[in-house]
Amino acid sequence: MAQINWITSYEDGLAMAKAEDKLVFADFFNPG
Amino acid sequence: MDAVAYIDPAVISFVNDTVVPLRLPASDKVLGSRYKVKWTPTLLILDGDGTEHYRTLGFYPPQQLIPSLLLGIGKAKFNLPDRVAAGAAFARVIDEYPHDSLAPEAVYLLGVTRYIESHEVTHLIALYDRLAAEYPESPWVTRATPYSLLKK
Repeated sequence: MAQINWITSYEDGLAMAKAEDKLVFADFFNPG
Repeated sequence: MDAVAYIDPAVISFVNDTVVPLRLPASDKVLGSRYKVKWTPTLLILDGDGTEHYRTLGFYPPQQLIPSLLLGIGKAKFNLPDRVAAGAAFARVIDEYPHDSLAPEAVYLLGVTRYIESHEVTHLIALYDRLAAEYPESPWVTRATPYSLLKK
């Protein structure tokens, strides 16, 4: 089943955004 | 969000194709503080340098999440500035989600974006006319009212 390919590292997310010329959608969530 | 929006096929496709999806616990001491996260979920659009361009919060149903992200993408692109991409994002909100609560704001922002690009006041007049005709109850009509005075 398809799912969102979440990145869980802030640094990796920003690096990917720069590499792919995309914006970041950041979801600050409550794991509990 | 996990139970509804994030399992929706349209949301999955949009998010994976359009943005870099980053998920962080709000309790993260460094990043929670840096972005002043006080509510969960807090949803942000950031650029590659980590600069925040859009913020919203709450549990979005799938049919409202995509237009919200598009509006945020448009605002981020406007700021960067990539006004063509900004206009395209605002236009998608209007064209694909015309009944969403964010559509009137997108009409306003698209009109202003086009004005800034062209310096043609007709875009400002047109945005007012469109808001008044299609979203007469929206507070964005009031905010656009000065543009109606530009009519000759």
